Amino acid sequence: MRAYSPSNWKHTGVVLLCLLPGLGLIILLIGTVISMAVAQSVGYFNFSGPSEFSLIYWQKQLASPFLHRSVLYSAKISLLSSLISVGLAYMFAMWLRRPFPGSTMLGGLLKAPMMVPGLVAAFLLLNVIAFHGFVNEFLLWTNIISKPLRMQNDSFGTAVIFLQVWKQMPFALLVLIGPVQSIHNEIFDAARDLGASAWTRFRKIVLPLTLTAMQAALILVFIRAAGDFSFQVIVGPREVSSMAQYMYTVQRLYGEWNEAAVVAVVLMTMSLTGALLLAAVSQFLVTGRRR
Amino acid sequence: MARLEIREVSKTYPNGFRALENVSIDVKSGEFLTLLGPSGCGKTTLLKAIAGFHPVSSGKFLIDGKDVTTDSPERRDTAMCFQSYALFPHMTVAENILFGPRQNRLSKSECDVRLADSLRQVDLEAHSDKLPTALSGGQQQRVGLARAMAMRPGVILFDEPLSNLDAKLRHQVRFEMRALQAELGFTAIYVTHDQAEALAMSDRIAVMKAGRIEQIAPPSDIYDRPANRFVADFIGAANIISAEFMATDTANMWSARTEIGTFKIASDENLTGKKRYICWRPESAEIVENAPTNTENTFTAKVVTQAYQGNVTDIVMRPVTDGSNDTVSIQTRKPETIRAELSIRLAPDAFSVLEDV
Amino acid sequence: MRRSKLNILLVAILVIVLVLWLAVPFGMALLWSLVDPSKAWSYPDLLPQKLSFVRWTEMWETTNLALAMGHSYTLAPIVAVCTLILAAPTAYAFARLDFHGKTAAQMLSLLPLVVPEFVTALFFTSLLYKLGIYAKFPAIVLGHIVLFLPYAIRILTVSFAQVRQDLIDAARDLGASPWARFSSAFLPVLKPGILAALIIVFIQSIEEFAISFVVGSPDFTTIPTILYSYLGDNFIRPNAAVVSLILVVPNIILLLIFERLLKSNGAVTVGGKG
Repeated sequence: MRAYSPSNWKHTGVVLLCLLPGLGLIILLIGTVISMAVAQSVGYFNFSGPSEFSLIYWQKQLASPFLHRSVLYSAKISLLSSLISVGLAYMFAMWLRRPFPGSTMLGGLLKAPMMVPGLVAAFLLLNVIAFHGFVNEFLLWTNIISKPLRMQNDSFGTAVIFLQVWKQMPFALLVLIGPVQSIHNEIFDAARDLGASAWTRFRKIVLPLTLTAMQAALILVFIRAAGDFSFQVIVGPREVSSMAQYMYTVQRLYGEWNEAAVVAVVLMTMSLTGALLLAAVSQFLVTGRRR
Repeated sequence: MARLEIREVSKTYPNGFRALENVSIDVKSGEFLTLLGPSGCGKTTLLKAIAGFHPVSSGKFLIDGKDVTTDSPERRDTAMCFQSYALFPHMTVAENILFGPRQNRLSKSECDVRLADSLRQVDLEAHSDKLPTALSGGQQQRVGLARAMAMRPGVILFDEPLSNLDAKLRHQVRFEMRALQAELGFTAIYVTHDQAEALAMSDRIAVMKAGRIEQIAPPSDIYDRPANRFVADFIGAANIISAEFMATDTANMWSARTEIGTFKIASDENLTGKKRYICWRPESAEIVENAPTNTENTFTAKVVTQAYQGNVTDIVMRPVTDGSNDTVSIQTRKPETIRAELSIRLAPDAFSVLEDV
Repeated sequence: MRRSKLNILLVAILVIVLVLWLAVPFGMALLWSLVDPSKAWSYPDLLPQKLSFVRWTEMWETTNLALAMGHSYTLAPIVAVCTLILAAPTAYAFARLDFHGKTAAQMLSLLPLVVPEFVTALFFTSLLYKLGIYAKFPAIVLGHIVLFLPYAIRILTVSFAQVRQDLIDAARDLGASPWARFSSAFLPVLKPGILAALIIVFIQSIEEFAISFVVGSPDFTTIPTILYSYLGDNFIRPNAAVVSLILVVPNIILLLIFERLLKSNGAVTVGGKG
């Protein structure tokens, strides 16, 4: 520990002043918003009626089959989206590890979906899979089917997962490509020389060495997918809501701020624990069984 | 240990660059062969081709008589020590060494034996549970060697393994590796651009330039009897001049006229009437005190500049002959006076006869 | 040799897939936006029977699209500039100052990305109601700033870290004033980062849906909320196509300019890094 001299106090002051406008604002606003949600979920800051501590909103929501279904549904969508996105991102990262003719253009094309807003992406997918979409048109034109297929709002959520992967895979790729490229070529050569197959090289060398980045990518995609609203509303199944959608419905349709707050807290808890659990499991799978 | 035959191997890149041209070497079992040359001469390309990383355009590799040209690196009976050591940073020393045996699905007991042997051979038993980053450069280099040896390969390939060590350690590891190779008797192909390393460690040296082998011979022959100007100049310091040979004086003794005077030169070749480059090493020059003029094999030169090295002194001199502005280098024990005129004698066997002018 | 041929084949396949992936959907969006209302494009027609710009003019004249665009394009530059100014000191501290808990502080700065956007949006609204603030424009500006601060901080931290201490020292040694020091040692290196942060935040703000939708509803519209109103339950495909194109095309042009600028600025960065 260094001794606290006046210049150290001055230094601390400068640091605090610097952090205030950026980090300070973030903590103030997001902190207040989270506190607001937690407080409203237990009956404070009521818009109607008395504000007092009450667990009734939690009791109501925890008993609700809709909440259960949307927690499971959102967890499923997030899990599948993050696994598929990170898996595909690894594939592309390995492929683009060493530059080859066209690799720059390929990298650019792969990143293109990041620049397309989610709502537009959903609309574009609708155009492809809708009743009158490209796929149906094509299948009709080639006489494979005689009547258009119904593909949007499928009950599993395939279209939502597809859109999540389309949108999130570039982010995962962005996180993974640096660490994958930073593994020295000679490390791969050494592993080959010692008899490791392509899969073993990936399993025993790439995965452990890029574990942190992989966990970051999994967490990132899981949390983004867990909070999804727009994909779900546009192409998601009609019979079940995503958590964000459910939360919004509870608040807007029924005006239940406190119950919406319960859903918000459950959503935050689910996305955080789910993401951390995913990171922990991946750590165990990669480093846990070495042999 | 195994015998390696390299037969007429060539490699041409798609852009037309010829990295290897018709290289043939027979490496005996247990031999330590060094590939020596400046950067870009193809020595590393040849090494990686032997390991199987680079496919060759034509030619063959045979290990103990078996054609392995199309085998992938995973299946070839070679193991490589890398320039960067290429240790797996997330695995301990023991896990690094066991990686190869485990990939080859050897039994637990066999793995244990190999691990113990390898660790003992490179003297790293105390460090088996450490991560590579906790070791010094020299120790990491030895882990790389132990990992290669645990494969019990026919041939161990070294890609400038000492280039990342500091000068002092490099000297020490040079001795250690040579001793280990002599003790265990593995066949080694060793790539380096450091001629001192090559001379100190090898049974034979192959000097390479632009994808070709210029000379392949034991170190003493490479140094004392270089085949051409490139080899003479690349290895050690050399004075290279052109000479016009006249008739023999006696058996195997030739008279040759050069810009710095006429010399008697010993050679088994028939050199009558030929114009060849010749070279001599600085340390073969003798200073003759009070020599009468025109003493045989002697020329006079003036000291231009000198560098005292402690054990020797390098002196640059200008011969006192008409028309020549070239300088020669000699080596003496003690410094001389600048601008002093000295008589220098070169013995007939101090010369190597190189290629035609 | 074999590997490179395989690569060319793989690249070719991928390019075709991506063209299908991007060009076909966008092409269809364009076609839909040009469908003439008098002749509906429906099964079994493969292509629209009649093309016109009627939808575009109709959208412009009869809906509040113009208003939404006005909102979006006033919001975005304000958000971009404010975010940049607020992010800079924090980025400077992250890159160039040493203090306890820096890692924790950097993790905390990612908070807006960890909390689901709709939770932020909804309870930010609830906070505004509680405080009795009903001015939607400044509220959305504040929401956007906080949401995009992490991106700006991250980009600027990298830029600040690239400034070489020896250049600053040299400037001081040569007697440069603080401003001269800033413009000679900092500015050339920071410029690409500032530009990147501005454009990224601008684009993100244009695209942002959750806060604009929740805080702004029902009367304050931006381009994404208009687009949303034509998707979902009340699906009007040609209108959605028009709004999609209006949302996406300027962004793509902006990104192309941005790439160009970053490339021409590359020399400055390299020179700055020496």
